[in-house]
Amino acid sequence: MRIFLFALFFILFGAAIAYGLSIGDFWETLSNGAMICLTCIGVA
Amino acid sequence: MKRRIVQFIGLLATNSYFAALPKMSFYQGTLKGVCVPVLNCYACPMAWGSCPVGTLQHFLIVRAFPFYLLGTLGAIGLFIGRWPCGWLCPFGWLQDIVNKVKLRNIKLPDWVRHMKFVVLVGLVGVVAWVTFEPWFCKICPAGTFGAGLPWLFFHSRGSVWSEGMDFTTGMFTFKVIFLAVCLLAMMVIKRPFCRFLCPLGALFGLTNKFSLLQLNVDLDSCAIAYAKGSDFTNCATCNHCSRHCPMDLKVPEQIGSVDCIRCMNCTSYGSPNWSFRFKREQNFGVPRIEKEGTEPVVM
Repeated sequence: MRIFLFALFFILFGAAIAYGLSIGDFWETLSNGAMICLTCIGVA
Repeated sequence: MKRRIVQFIGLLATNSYFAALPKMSFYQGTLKGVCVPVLNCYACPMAWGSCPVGTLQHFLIVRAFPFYLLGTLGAIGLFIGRWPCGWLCPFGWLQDIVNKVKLRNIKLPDWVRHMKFVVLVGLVGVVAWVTFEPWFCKICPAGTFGAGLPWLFFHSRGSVWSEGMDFTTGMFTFKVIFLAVCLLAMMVIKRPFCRFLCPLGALFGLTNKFSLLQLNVDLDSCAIAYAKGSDFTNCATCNHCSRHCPMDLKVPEQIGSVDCIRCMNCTSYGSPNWSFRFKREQNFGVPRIEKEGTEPVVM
């Protein structure tokens, strides 16, 4: 049961990563920097 | 010592864009699409990757589900739980270092540790969703320390990248004061940010129960109890393994809980040990006994 649950979660998370990459999450993550940068400084 | 070395490697792995220093800029290349498994601000001049908490807020703001981010954090947590907190996070390491000052040792009530889930759901989740602004990033002390203050320095040196930044705002003043409060807290409380405020720690902590890496105690074979000639009924008052916990946990009761950062400090004292779920236990050199009354077996 333990191995089954582990394998299930592993597949789920792997699928989430693959799907996220396929819809452009990687580039969305990369592009958020401009806003975050200024926000971190507290000037935006 | 081994953990300190890995923490240093973790610091370098996440913050080694040294080219940012002479240029007084920050890395904006492709690696910024990678979320590092620690609290490390995107805006830190030397940072290679993105902060997962900032990224999570960004996805909430743009109303997109963060499949890639949660899948990555989930996969890491599935294998090692909250291990990155204890071995990789630069801000966690800072807290370990500052706590060496040890002005005092204050213990807060146990319920305060639930505040990090309020921060995760409330500040990182709900507030970002409602206001369309990453409010956790605005006050994050790791961001202030790793990015806010360096950018203030760059601005004072005339960096073109900092044009338009205003460091006289009330928000920035609040950030610096909050960082100062956190640094002071680090001198009197063990890892206060990790225990009470860190939303990433809260997320990883949820995976502790079902991760492949597990920490356990086996009170029946505690060498400390054996050496003291007791039947471990003195566990509650012994505290030998708990004394070295950077999260101030009562190790026999709370090892493996959401607050355990898997630093492995306790495995060098008494009965705590670590294992991977599908393999037998491993215990590095701590004498263990097979049953009461027999000689300890060093494994």
